[in-house]
Amino acid sequence: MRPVDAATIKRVRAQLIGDPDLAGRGLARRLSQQADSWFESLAADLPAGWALLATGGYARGTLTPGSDIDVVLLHPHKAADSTVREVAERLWYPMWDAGVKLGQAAHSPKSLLQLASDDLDTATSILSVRCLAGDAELAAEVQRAALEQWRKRPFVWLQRLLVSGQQRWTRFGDVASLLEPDLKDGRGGLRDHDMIRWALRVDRAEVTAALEDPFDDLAGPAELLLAARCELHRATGRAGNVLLLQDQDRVAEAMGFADADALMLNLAGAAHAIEWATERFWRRVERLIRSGGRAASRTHVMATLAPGVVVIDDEAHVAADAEVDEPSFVFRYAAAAAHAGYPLGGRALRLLASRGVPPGEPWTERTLRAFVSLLGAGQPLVHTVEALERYGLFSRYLPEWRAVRSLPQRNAFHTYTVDRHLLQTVANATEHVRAVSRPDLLLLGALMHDLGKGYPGDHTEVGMELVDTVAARMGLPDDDTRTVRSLVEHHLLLAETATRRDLSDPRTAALAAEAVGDKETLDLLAALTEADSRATGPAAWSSWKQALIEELVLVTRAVLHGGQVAPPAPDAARFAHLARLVEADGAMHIEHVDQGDVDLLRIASRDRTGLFAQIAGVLALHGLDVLSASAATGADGVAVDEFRVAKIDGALPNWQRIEHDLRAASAGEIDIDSRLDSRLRSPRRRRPLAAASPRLEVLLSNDASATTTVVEVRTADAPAVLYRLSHALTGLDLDVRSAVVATLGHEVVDAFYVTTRKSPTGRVPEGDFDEIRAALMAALAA
Amino acid sequence: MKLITAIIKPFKLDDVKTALRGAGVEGMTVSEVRGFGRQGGHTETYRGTEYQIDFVPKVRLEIVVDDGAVDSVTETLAEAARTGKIGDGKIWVTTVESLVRIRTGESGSEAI
Repeated sequence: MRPVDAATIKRVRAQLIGDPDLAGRGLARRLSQQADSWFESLAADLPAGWALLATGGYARGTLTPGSDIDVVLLHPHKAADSTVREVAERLWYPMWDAGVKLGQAAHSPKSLLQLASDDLDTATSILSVRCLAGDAELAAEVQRAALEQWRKRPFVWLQRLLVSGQQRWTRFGDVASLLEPDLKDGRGGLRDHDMIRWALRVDRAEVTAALEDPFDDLAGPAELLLAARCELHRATGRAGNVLLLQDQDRVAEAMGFADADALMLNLAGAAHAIEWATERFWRRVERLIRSGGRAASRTHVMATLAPGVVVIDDEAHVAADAEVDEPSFVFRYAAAAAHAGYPLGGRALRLLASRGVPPGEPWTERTLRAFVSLLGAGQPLVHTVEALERYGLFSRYLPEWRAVRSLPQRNAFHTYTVDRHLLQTVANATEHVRAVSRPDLLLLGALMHDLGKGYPGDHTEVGMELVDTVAARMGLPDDDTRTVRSLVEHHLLLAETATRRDLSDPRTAALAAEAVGDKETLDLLAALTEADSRATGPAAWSSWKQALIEELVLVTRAVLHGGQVAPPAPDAARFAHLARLVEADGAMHIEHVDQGDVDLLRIASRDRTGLFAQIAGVLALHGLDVLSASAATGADGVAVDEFRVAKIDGALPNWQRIEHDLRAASAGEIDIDSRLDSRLRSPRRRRPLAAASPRLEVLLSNDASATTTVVEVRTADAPAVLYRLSHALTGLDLDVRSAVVATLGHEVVDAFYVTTRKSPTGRVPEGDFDEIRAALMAALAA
Repeated sequence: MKLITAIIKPFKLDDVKTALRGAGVEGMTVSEVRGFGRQGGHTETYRGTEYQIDFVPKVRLEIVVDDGAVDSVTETLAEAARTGKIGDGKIWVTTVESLVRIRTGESGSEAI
């Protein structure tokens, strides 16, 4: 019988690819079967001792219209070069002439195995082979030897697989969150599925155990991606694997989806499943590689990140005694994990998903605090939220999230799906938390700025309405809600104005100033604009645009001349009874009010330099986090301080001891420094490192008040920050007249209104500002 | 054929584009550039602030036109880009030796 010719191959292939009844995987199977029959025909008269093998994806019986057909011609070791060439050419030429792309090679078994002993691509391609023609026993022998080679050095191969995977992930990005994903090489794509299969072939129990769920669970997601890749090749007539916006409609139609959005949502779901398995599997495998194959204990607690949050097997888990039913716990757990850079454990997530609050409940203050802390985690936020949402935990608290989850956007500027864009904006915004006075509102605004895209209508207008709903649920104060709504409303204002309006025309700045309202919002908006643009795509941000926006912010700020802000005055009524007691006996008077999640501590005393620092120090000694504080000294010389504190460890504060220590410190009987030192050094108190740590900001100004100098410090939260800062001010002989202190997520914004005796006005000469700045930085560096 | 290159203020791009379309210009190349001219790298209005832009963001336009259209296009462009203030930019014209439309291989004026 005459072997098949090029014309036939070309015609039949075109028929198959043009057959509307074949779709996705069905087409891939038929193309593979058809190729089998051609090779059978072409290789019908292979001499004894020769074999033709299918390798790679073709060995598994699938070929997309654009895939290379990977084949190896095995010949006897002693076969003459000319003979090999002649046999090979008879096989390859008809395929080449028909326009089929081959990934062909000719080897003796020895040279093939030799190559596979060092080349990762060859090694993985022959882990499973299929004999197309010739000596089947020879083929089986080669396959057995290839597997043996693979299993002989399992961790060397796993390491090389991992490195190649990491390079691929960096280069191709995520399948689930890119608007134009690479179905094969992207993270969560087909290659990741292959990579796990290859890794499992080392056939080691500890590697198999590293995979959380059965490998077969990934078959469905992988088939969907394969079908999409197949239809993409068919639609474009090319071999590219990037599913471009322009091709999504055709692929969706061929696969029977209602529209491109439905296709992309389904692909994102499939990619999420593969990505989830991949991320967890390879992290465990990496650990196995490092430890030479010793698996970590699944129960041993390696560290404690926060109350109820522990590290087990390099994952964040829930401790046995954790208050899992406390509404804020989910976010406290996620925040602790994200800040320390640990992924969330599957077991913990399943446990939390089965418990906790019903969806859409009003938040407690503690929940909001933990949530803001999570948002401030930087880049790890993206995968942490993705992990929470895999179990519906993020949208349980924020049901609006479901509307933007994996939502594609048809917009040439954007790189990411809406949810990923929002998370990326929040992660970028973390770099600007020190540039604003309200980092918490920056992060919340970043999270919500495009939330409206999940609903019909103008996304900005819808977004503003959503802010009202969401902020009410979060329990955000009205002023803060207004600010966040303003951020959402104007999130495009700076970028549009800077490039489209004349910046030298005073009306431009005036209009921007009118829209924005105040300097604080302008700073927030400037930070949001950069974070948003950088999360959008390469076309949305450049140093060119940045320069224009910076100029707009500058001229707008000049219009928004901030009036003088009076130092915060104490609410006299709340302190009147304490102040009277102080006036009567001159002693320190203390009261505390239990407010559930937090405690309110009021202290009245005769003012003297260093009092504020001493109080802050004692609170730090007792492991109390100062959430906010205000301090003020009245004309009568009575200082009243109000601290809102939360216990770091969750245990109940011992108020008797605290009051005792406050009085003792006031009398100079406690060495706060040395006691704090030993407390902070104890290993039990190890705190995670913040993922992103922008520099410390110290802003000094004599403009805000006629009688005091304002020292504003923005920094990351850490033990005893407030004490260290206020103590440093005392060391410079500055008197803290009043203070407004806030811990917002992982950020601290402390404003101290200080006076000095050295100058007649009480304000610090500007020449001394550098010294103050240096002292504060040194205090935190210590 | 001439190449008209113009440096203009970014916010004037839309106006200039519309005006040139009206003048029969069918294509142009736009790039985001930075530079300084007589204004010396910062705007007059805000001199004295700490903030100084060394190179001011501008937009560069490149348009190839037939010799006969040079004057009218240049005039239209200048008109549309003018604010009357410092930093409005410049237009210069250079001779183009040859031109090819890549897709069709047309050359010379046909390729404009």
